[in-house]
Amino acid sequence: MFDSFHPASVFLFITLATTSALLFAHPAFLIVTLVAAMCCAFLCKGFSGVKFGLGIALPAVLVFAVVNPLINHRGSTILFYIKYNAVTLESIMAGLCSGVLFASVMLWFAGFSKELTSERLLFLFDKISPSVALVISMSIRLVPRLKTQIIDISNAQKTIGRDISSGKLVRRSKNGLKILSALISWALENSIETADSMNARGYGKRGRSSFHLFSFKKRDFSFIAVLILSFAALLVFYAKGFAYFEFFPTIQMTAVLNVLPAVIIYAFFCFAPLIFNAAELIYWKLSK
Amino acid sequence: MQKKLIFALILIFIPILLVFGVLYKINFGIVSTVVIMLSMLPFFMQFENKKPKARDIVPIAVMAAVAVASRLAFAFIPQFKPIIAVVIVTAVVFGAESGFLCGTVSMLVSNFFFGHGPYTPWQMFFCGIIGFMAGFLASKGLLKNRILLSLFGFAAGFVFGAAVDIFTVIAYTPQISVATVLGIYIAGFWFNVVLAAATAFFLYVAGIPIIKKLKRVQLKYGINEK
Repeated sequence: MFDSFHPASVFLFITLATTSALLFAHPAFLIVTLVAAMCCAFLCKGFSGVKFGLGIALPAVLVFAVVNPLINHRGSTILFYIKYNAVTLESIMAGLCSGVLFASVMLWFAGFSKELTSERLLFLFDKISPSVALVISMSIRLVPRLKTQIIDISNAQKTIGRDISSGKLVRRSKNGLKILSALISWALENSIETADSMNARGYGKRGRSSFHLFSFKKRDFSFIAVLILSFAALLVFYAKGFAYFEFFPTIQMTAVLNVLPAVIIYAFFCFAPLIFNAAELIYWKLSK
Repeated sequence: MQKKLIFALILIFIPILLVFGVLYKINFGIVSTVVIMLSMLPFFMQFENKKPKARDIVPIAVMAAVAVASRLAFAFIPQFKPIIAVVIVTAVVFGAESGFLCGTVSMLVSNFFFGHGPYTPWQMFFCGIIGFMAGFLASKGLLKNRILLSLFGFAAGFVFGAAVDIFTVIAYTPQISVATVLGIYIAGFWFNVVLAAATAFFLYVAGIPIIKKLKRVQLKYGINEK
């Protein structure tokens, strides 16, 4: 969904989207976040995103809604008693809202996980600390290589009777440790070669840059402008108390009609990447 | 000079943020995540300032990758993750700063493979702090035998799990109470215990031999020499 955006725009959207989800507690905002996060998960990951939503996020909502009233007995509208403990409407609502919030943050990140690629994060990290960015990128590259090496080592160990796929648990874990020990020796000895090779190619010399294909386009500029302006407008509403919502002792909130303008801006904000992509698609279709 | 200025700015900015967050009742999940991200910056800058050589960088990257990949060797036990144990071992050999870096990097890299979340900075920070503490304690001569090592590992594993759970409590529950905190901790208790036990087991059985192995490589190739 963010394919053609600059890392800075992607990162800004991810930060602001999760921040706003946690910031605005009003149920009207929560519903908008949930729907937008679901759309984002669907567009980024297809049906596996939806499956994730239904399989993990929805049960989470239920767990919050059921567990909270059982451990939290505050609130004034008592619905019924379980063993002298009052189950109140307010705490069910509070649990439900927590659950929806939890589910939407999880869904946002389910979608983002495909967009927050290592290249993008490294591009940003490179600005803060190039050495740390280098450590991260080397480490990311090494993980798949070490995984195949673990399989190789464990196959070799199997031939001398140190099997991790069957046997008693303690024995298997000890064999697992032997595999790790062999892996560490192999990886470290290799790493020295890598380090020497880096030196030979001029690591640490001045004037060297790293390769990337990102460019900050006009589109990124307008995207960031839209995000910042709408978020600033939302903060004004927030400061005025429009997202006010209190569960205990009784549910108190700003009337839905009063919040409506803020909710519309919020929806625009949450769906901004979608709108930008749709606009792009229409423009492309028309120009053909 | 620029470094000191940024340190000072961070030191001033964090309390302002905390006070602002409390006064305006901003969701404390947001405030604390920002504070945590800011507190990682000085460590990274410290590393940057040392102008590390290739031989100092590569072993940290390798050990972070080992920490991430290590769970594959124990795939037959669910939730058995020796990631913190590998970070502790690295920290004991290569020092507190390298330990912090190894911890943060391994958590970040691990989340690239298993999914990011708002908890990513929390995991990075606390795993980094565990690495830093392990390095510090080792430099003071503690963590020398397998019992102390595995005790530290158990405590570190449990505290790590509990610390990351804090985020769940303060971000998602509208009003933090003893009951909600207990509820989340009871829900996550067994996960934290398994993580702590995995760390302790790893360090008890393999901690000292692997430390020796790393020290040999360090000596052989002159890594992190002063």
